[in-house]
Parts: sequence; C-alpha cells; structure tokens
Amino acid sequence: MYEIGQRVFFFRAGPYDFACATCHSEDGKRIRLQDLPNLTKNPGDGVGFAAWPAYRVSSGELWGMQRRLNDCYRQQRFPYPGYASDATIALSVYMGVKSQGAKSIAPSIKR
Amino acid sequence: MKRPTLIALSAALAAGCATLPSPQALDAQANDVIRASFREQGIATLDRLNQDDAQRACSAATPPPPDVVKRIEAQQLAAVHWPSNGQYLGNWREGEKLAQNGRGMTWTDPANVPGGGNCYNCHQIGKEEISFGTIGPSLYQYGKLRGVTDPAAPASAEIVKYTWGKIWNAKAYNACSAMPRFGHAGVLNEQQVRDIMALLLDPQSPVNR
Repeated sequence: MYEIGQRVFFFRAGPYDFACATCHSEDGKRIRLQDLPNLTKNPGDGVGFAAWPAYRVSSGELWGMQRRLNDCYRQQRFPYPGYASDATIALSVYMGVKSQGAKSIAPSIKR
Repeated sequence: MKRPTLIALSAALAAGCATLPSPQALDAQANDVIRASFREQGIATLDRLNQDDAQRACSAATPPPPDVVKRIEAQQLAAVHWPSNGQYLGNWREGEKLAQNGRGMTWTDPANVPGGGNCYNCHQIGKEEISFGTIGPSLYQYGKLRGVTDPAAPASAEIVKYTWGKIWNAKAYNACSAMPRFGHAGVLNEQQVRDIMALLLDPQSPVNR
C-alpha cells in the first residue's frame, strides 16, 4: 500500500495539473498564509499525518484524515474520492510511514 | 472494485520485500486504484483523471529525463494561443480581482461561472496584499524589474510575449512547473489573461508603482 500511496501522491491530473506533491513536497512553503507540511519526508511531531484527527475551528467540526484528504482533492480540482477508498487509504499509509517516529498530537486544533 | 488487486498486493507485501511487484506492475496497480477510488461530483467529471503527456511525465518523485523535458516544452509552446487581436494587456484593476479570486472548477462550484486566477495563493504580487503564498516566486515589481516602461514598445515585446506564454501555458517553459496552464486548460479566458498581464506589466499597476 505504501508503494501505491507514493504513486497516488505524485499523480498529476485535472484542469490545474495538481498532485499532492505540487504543494507538499518542499519545506517552508505556504498557500496564502497557510503553512504547508512537506509530506515526502517526516514532517515532525504533530505536523501532517500526526496532526489528524483535528478540530477545525473554521467549520466547527472534527475532521479525520479522510475528510482532510477529501477537501485536498476538492481543491486539487479532482473528482470525488470515495470514503475509505483505496487511494485515500494508500495515501494515509504513505504519510503514516513517512511520519514514523513522529509524536501524534491528535485530536489537535486547526484553523 | 479492486479488492482482489489489493488483497494480492497485501499478500505480496506480507511475504516480504523480495516479492514486491515490479515498478511497472505497481504503476499499473496504482492506476487501477485511482480509477476505482473516484466518482464524478458536480462539474468534476471522471475524465479529469485522464492524464495528458505533460501530466504523465511529471507524476514521479524524480523529474523526467532532459529529452522528455525538451519534447514536452516544445509541444506546450506550440499549443500556446496568442492574443487573437494582438492586444496583450487589459485592465490591471480587473487583473487584481482575478489574482485575488481562488474560486472555480471544484466539485462545489457551479458550471459556467468564470473562475479566478488563484495568483495570490502562490505568489506575492501587489504590496498591499500581505496574505500571499510562497510556492511561486514574488511578482512584486514584475514589469519594473524587467525594465518595462512601455509595454507596447518593441523593447518590451520579448518579455510581454513570454509573460503571456507563461500564464497561458507554464509548461511551455518548465515542463513540470507547479503552475496551472491557465489558458491551455480553460481556467481563464483570453480577456482574463489580458487583465492579469496588465496587473504584472502595466506601469500604472500597483505591482510596478
């Protein structure tokens, strides 16, 4: 699943040509003022995979990893990923393996 | 459903790394997983998963070899649509609105509503806007730094043309650029590109003042 997840992470498509990697493969980048974790390596304690599930203040909801990925794909202008679909599970495995050893702070608070 | 594929893969992984399928087999499995995992929603149809040459070549952790990069850049440059009326610059005020606007083309957006340019998501542009992203370079003083005092002057022609090409199809100059191909992919129309051109190149635009 890790190998599949890595391929899904780098898969570019859609009208914007975005992959997960487009925004999440370099250190210290932002979209507007939002910091973007580099998910191609261990992003550290409580960052990226280690931050979810989280309470989203902006929506007043608790979001799991599935919901986080769903909204990533919406903004990537992709079609709709099924809940617990193989692609989202594979991506979670990829991020989880990369985060090995990082301390989870879930449930965390996000804007 | 691709469960059988995944069960086979899990079994292969459980049996140890020595039995990991070949990279080509994993590519095929990943492709199957992607096909099986998404559904159409609103305007976000499944054909969005069909990659073109440029997307396919830039879907790995490592960039494609130089000959492939050259081929893609040549293809994309040949596909650039230059302004049909010869007019490269529009209205920078409209361009600023488009640069601010990050809407359009998601499955929650309606069809046939003009979207935005998303520019500030990744670039600094006007100095007044402090909420800008850093995935792309700063474009503050874009025209001024390049010596554009009169965009219509022959001396400006090269940079004006390049800037149009870059907005229309960023992959014409950098095959695996993170930047969307705004004109090529139909994200922005010709007039919208003109307005963003003016934001970057008009000496009266706040970007250059």
